[in-house]
Amino acid sequence: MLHAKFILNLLIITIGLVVFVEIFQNANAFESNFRVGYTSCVACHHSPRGAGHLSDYGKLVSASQSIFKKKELKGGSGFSQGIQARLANLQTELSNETFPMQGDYLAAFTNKPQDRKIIISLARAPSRRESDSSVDKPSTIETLYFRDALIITSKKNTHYFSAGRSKKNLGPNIVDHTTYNKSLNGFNITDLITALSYDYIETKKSLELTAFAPSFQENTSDQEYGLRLQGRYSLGKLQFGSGILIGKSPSIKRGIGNLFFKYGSKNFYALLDSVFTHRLNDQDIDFNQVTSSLILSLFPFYSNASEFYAIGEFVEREEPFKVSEQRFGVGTRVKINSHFSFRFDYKRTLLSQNEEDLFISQIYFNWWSS
Amino acid sequence: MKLIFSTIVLTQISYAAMFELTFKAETTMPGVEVTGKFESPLAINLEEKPLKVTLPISKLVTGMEIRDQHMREEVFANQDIKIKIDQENLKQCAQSSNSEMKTQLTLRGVDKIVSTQCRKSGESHQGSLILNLKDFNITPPSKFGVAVKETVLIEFNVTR
Repeated sequence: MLHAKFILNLLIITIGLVVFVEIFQNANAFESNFRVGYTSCVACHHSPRGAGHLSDYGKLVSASQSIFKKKELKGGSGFSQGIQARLANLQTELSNETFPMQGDYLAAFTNKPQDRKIIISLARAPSRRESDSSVDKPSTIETLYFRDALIITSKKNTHYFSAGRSKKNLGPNIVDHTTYNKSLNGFNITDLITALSYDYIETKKSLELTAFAPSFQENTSDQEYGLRLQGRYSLGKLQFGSGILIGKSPSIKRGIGNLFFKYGSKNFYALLDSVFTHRLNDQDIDFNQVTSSLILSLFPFYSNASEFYAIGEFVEREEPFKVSEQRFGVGTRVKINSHFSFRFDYKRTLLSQNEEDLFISQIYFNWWSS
Repeated sequence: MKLIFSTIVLTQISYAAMFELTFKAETTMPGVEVTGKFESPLAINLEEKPLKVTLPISKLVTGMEIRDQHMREEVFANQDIKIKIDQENLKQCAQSSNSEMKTQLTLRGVDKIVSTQCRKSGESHQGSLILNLKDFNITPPSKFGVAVKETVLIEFNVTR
């Protein structure tokens, strides 16, 4: 009975997330910015692992990668804040929904000479997710959570120590990892952790080490403790990386190994990312899973303001929770100016005997105080 | 007439070559490396005495428009890069698999004789040098804490 319940839960989670996380992919520019000389996130983001709050330098780079560019920005303030919001429209054969997808308030306090900082991202769970969550009719305060709340100290721009709330980093292609490796909390807010991290960053190589505990917003059975280690090495136009994660929660133990390759040139970017996961659940059932994804991006104009890409994602999970799924998609991203971006994706999902077409349109809004 | 024309063309072809230059600069921020080049190879005449190459600064590209603009304006003050090589040095480079070649380089109006490592590779000649920007009175560009280091690796390729 418990086994059947576990399968049912896993199936519901998988199907729900297959649709949902298609649009959870953040607007992280970094991975394709590798082609223009950025081998790590640290120059453009306050967090050495990227995403969220941009540094002054990152704001300048972002504002310059638009159709209507800004070429100069003020900067140098010890305090900066911003808003990131997103409106999404999802169309399938059975539904057509438009809803606010993201609404984050971001703040960063940086001391001089910038070797210590505090970053905070306060987020509201999308309204669409509340209906999928385990909390009935949540109050506004219950839908708020910290995506980041980190104290970061650095030494010589090479050694970074962080403590606090952040995201679990499972590899460069966030879509695939969030779909199949995340654990859930009350609002399906996932992969948030309380962590102690160390990052060693050089131009050609980097190393990340994280000891993590749950965010404590998850259901008790999903509260995971573990270790994560990842390294990257760049060689000209190529970068490759690999990592492991070992985690244990009351419901599952898992070990993850990932491997990725990137290639970047003037007009082209490619990412191949594969993840092997071994899981052992509380019923003593163990099973393996392999997920792979391939992204091919074209930047047809010299500007980074527009991108056209094709994506293939492949999932194979063993019995007794067998999943065999392929997704193929194309999309485009256009950054209009420093505030607005537009993104459109089409994906065809082949899951067992079913096929589904998914159209996703998203408008991104960014505002920065300096 | 036809014969004369053909001879002229063939002579021109035998001395004609393409010149390409790329550069790589590290920054004070790990994870940021600036690589650049000139948009298209330049046609040069290897028989020219001395060989003169002018690299138009408007054709300098690094993969990001704003970076290109900063480099053209702030680093090079919109002045073209000029290279002058004596034929003797050039011949020495052409005959040896690995040699050192003296080259006159003009950056931002400042002339310097620099020493270039030169090697022959099939039909092409490749060279490299490490340049200190301060030798040419150039302050390494800096934006919001990300500054280019003083030394820049320059590589060139001459293909017949």
